[in-house]
Amino acid sequence: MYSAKLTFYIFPLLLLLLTASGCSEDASSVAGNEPLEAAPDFDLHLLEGGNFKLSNYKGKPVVVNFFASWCVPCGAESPVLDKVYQDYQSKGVSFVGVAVNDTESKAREFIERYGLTFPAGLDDTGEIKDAFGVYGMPTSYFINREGLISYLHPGAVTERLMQHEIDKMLESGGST
Amino acid sequence: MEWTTALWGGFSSFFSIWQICILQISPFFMVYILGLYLTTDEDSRINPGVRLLLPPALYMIGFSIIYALLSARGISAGRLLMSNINNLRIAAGIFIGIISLHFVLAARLRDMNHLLWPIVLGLGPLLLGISFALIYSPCVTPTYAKILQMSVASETAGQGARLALIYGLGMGLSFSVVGLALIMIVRPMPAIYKPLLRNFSAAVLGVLALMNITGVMVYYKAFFLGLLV
Repeated sequence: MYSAKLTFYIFPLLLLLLTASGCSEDASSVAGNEPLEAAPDFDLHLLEGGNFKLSNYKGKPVVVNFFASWCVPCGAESPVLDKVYQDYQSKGVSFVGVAVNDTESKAREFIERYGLTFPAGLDDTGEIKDAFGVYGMPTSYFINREGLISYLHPGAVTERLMQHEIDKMLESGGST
Repeated sequence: MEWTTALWGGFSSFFSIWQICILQISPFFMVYILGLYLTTDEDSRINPGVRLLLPPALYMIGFSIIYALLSARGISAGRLLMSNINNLRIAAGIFIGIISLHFVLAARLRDMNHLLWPIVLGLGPLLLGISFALIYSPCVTPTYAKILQMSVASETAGQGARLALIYGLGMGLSFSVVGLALIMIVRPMPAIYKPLLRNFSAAVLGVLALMNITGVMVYYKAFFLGLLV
């Protein structure tokens, strides 16, 4: 059968493609705890007014959280994010939420529902998300004082993980 | 992580709270698989087993390959796809639109449909799987989070991509199982209703195509999925 032949040839070909891609791994990837990659600069219009330009925060640790109002784990991690923000705000750590694949009204509703107090805005063009290479939500980036991505966490964060990563950025002084 | 864990993680997500996120694509897959079956239903020259099983199998392959590549930030091919995701989503929308048109015209072009059945039942589902992986914005489940962690680090990116492929296959498998169950339900339906259902499938896919071409898919995600969260 033609279809059987088609399947016979297509499947290994596609698997080969994936395996071959695996061979060309990019050494500049953000590995576990190694700050190798500079965070892309962005200028986000905030929902409460004003802008958040990442490069203006150089010298300060920044946590960038990508979320969507319809994303189940985004809601689940929100209380943790806000608690850690409250704990670390006085230590000079900045947080920003970036709503993606969302509308402004829904993003606002989400922020109100979970009582988020850190600044947030809508990435309506998807430019920021694409620059950071975000596919799944939520994803959090920990950006050190030098503007390098110290750690990135796909999925819901825990308080312990956030404290660990932020403390690491704070302890390292000028660099992580 | 064991491959069985990744497979189960992907498969079980369909039947859990994570379905809210999967609703971005799952209803559209169901109408597609039903519409495709009804499009080729009356053609006795095509082997029934092929007609039933080949499309979901190829959909699974197409979906999981692209899902794995998009998940693998540490792999250059994944980064390349991600950097062009907006244009690829428009291309996916155009392709879904072609499938919608095919469903509408299928009854009138029965002979052509028969001649082109390797494309209709083979290439079509494969490309639809690719399209759905492109338009999907996954929620990161605990299992998927572990896989993504591996995909991020350059030294484990290959392993992460392979596990993401298996996770995607698991998701595709759950789609296929439910899709096949729906076909079994629709199969004994009186013939008079079948064109209606096929046209309904075409209309739903047409809407999905337009949403992706025009960029309003975001409203579907925000308002429809938002109702369920």
